[in-house]
Amino acid sequence: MIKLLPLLSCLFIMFSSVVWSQQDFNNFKPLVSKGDIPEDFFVRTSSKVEQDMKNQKEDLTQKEQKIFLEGVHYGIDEILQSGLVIYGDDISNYVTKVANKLLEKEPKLRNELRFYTIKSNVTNAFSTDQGIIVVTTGLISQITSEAHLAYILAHEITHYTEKHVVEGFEYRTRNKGVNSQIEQLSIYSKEKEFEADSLGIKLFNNAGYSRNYLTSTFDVLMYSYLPIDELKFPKDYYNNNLCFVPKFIFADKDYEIKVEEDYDDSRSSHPNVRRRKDKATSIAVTYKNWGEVSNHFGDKEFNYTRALARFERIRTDIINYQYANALYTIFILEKEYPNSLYLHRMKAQCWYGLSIVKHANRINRSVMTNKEMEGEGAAMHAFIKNLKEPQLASLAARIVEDCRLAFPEDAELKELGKRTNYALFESDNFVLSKYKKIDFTTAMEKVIDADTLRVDAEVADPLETKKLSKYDRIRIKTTGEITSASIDSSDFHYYIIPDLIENDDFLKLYGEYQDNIEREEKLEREYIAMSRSERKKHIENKQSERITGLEEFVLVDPAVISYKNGKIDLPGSEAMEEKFIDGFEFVTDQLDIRMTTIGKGNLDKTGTVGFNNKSFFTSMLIQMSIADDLDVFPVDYSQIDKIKDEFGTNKLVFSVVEHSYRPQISPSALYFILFPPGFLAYLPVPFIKGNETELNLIVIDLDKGKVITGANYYFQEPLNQFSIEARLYDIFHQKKK
Amino acid sequence: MIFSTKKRSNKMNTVKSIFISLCLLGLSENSYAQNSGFIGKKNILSVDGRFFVPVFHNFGKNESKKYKANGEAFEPARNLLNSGINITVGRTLTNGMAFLIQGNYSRYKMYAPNYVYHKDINDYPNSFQINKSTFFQGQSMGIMPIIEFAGTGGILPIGISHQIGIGFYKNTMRNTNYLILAQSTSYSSSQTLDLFTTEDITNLDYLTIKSYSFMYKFNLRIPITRSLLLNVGMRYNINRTKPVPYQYDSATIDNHLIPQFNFRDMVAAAHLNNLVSLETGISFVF
Repeated sequence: MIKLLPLLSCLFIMFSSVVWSQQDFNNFKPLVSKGDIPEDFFVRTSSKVEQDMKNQKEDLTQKEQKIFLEGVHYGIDEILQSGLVIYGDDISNYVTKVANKLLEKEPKLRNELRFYTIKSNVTNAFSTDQGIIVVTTGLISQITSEAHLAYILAHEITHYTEKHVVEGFEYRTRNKGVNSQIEQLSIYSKEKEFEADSLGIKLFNNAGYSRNYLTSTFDVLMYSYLPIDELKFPKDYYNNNLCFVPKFIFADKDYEIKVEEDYDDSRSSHPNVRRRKDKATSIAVTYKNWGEVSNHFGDKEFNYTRALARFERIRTDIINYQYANALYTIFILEKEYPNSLYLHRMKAQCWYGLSIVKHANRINRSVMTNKEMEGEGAAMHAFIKNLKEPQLASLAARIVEDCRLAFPEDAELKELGKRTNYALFESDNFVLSKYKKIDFTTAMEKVIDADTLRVDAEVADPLETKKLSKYDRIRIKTTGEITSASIDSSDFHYYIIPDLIENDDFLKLYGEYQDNIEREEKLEREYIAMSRSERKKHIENKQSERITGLEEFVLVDPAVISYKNGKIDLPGSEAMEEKFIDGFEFVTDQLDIRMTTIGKGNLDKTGTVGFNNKSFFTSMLIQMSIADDLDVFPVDYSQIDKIKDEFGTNKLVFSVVEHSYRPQISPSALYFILFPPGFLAYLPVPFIKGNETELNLIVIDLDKGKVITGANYYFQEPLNQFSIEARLYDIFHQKKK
Repeated sequence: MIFSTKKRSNKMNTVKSIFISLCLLGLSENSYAQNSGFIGKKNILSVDGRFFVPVFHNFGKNESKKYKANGEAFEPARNLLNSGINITVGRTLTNGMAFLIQGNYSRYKMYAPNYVYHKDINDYPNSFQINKSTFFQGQSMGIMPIIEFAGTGGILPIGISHQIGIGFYKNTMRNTNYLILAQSTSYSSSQTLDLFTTEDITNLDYLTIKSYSFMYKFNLRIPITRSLLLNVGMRYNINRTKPVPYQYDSATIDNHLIPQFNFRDMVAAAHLNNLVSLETGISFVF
């Protein structure tokens, strides 16, 4: 026993570390990749193509194989580098475990496959010719058992084993000129889906899963456009001791679920659910020895994994400005995790986001159209749609303040509170004095009191009617704080931030807002009074003001898109990307600017840490790009704050170069019919200026969470490292000054 | 894929396309006002070859003058390509503007005049109509100050640019020996055809015409290293030769086989013929 003690303690430590490595949902952090970075993520795509070209595929010519391999490798690599895919995380590990179970008897096949997770709320999974199988967090968030995942994986594994990707390519290549190509392709594609469904059942059956979960997998898929659960959204959800929201703002009806199993799939790549269910059922009966298992790895692990995906779902919705969806998911999850800091942060982010999109008249981005409204989740959409801007901005301030009060030390919630309050000041018709220092319920009680007072005053001595002091009565009568009659409940928003309007920080921020307004108005008046040349000078000065002082930055995944014969020249673009980075390094070295690069090119050195940093920054970029000019709050604010400290800079640079060569002879050249030799004199010009290269660069200030400057160069030179260097030198020469 | 949903889906945009849309926020800045040069290098030294294709006067005209000499025989020739060389030095003043000084040397074929003149033994000027002639070879040398403006996206000295210059040239004969078959037009002479070479009669070195030229060039400089640029451009010239009095009296002609005014016409015609040139070369930036 003594000898066993060290072993036991080791096991205990290992077990503890497993437990510790699991997410605490009260302090949930977005999923990140873990472990060693797989080769799929850092090997050059052209090397992968080169490697695979050594094994000639049957039925494809050398040229076709090259096209095919370039398509699949560059396609999947773009997804792997999108910042959305993760590896070695708890979801990917779980998926891998389920796949291991399915392939217990096929170790060779198992070794060919890699399993990753993509952060997307679409319910889907896909496999590639290279043996990569990717499942979405959306899929994991919707399933109700491990068996559902197992069947979906079995389906994808079959796509891989039956080489459906290459067969599909071959079919498309051989049938290019076929009439009604879409229908033909649809039929072909559906055949392959049926095949994957059918053969997948074998793996599913072998792994001992229960047959009951087979057809219900299709239900999961069919209803996947709905939220993760169908819970009634109560009309008193926002009410608390300070907040009252009248019921008439909430949805006044239920929204029925309209989807049907037997929809028209004639132009779809997949058969409809009814047909898939029927086919699966007919095949399932041919198998015997069905198992009874729903979760080989236990309910706890399944529920944990699904909860991870559900928490991630909120983040993905916020990146895509789907605030109503995110709030409904939060509403569901907070029942189980009421003290989750993450849920509070995300809720605050949603309400801040809603406040700014409403102000920018873009609320339709964040809520469903009336046509799309289905299920219980639609009630949340309807509620947000019904809120007028002042109501929404005030409610946002209330909710964010409540979140902040729940976690008073949290820097992210503090910042969100500040921004939401500022958004309230900027909202339409905001007048601070209209906001009351009492909450709605108390106000109503006082109205009743005042009414009684008024009635009493008419019939008797008011000073005797109620147990109020003389001064109370005078104050009520003279200030009109509470008048007679009732309060219009649509003015509820004036009563929901009584604590805030007496808060020093809130009032100080309001003072800053007023100062800013005054300053802007003054600048505007000065600008109007300027002459044209003064305005030009003024604009130049403003530009140089906002771009100077760039001494250090992080360069994130610079990209090159080069076109050849109208298509993206994938190998050329990849090769140029490396030169692009070399250009950055040379220029920053020349100008003594400190630059750190995070990108595909150096992932072999930066590893998983570099990959995760890149993913966080990419998510922020996606969020900002969807926002256009809105004042974005980065969804991963806290994580980015930490990364910023690691790099020692708050400046982030994203850059893309696009190039094509398209000599265009002007239609006016037709006039040379009158003088043909002139055409010869003109002819070289379009070829000299046929290059179209565009370099875009933006600098993001991580403290402000916004793009602070950018540069855009359109030039007509062939794409090479030195022309890019010249532009980069020009940009950073300006910005460093 | 396991499923294709017809319902709401979040499109997975590629980071690149997203980035491009982000860049359309109008955050570009005007860089023409500053002078960053090519990676900080603002001085330029270029050597360019000039290639003229004399397209305008090459169709059906002067057929009797398109020969080259093969001993004392005429051999058909074509005026297909003339050439020259430019050496340019300059400095960028801003990213959008540069000042250049260019030295040009070019050679070109000219068509012989219709007549040549020579005094007879009585010292009387005689004219000879040229029936057949080899190409005459002209050359010009000059200097041209140039202002250069950056074109779309150009950061001088690289990229597309537009050059405007006014040059001053001296035009001379490159060779002095040309084969001519001429016929005297003098009533007093024997009216015979005569084959002669110009050097037998006179040295044509005396022929000098000044000209000036207004030039526009559409240019592209492509960096090939951090110090060298490849140049390619189309140059359009409008030339004007200095007027010469039109007289062919005894005193003017003297021993001048070709009077200055004829030479001026030859040069002017050649210049017109060489209105457009393709230029290419390399630039060293420092």
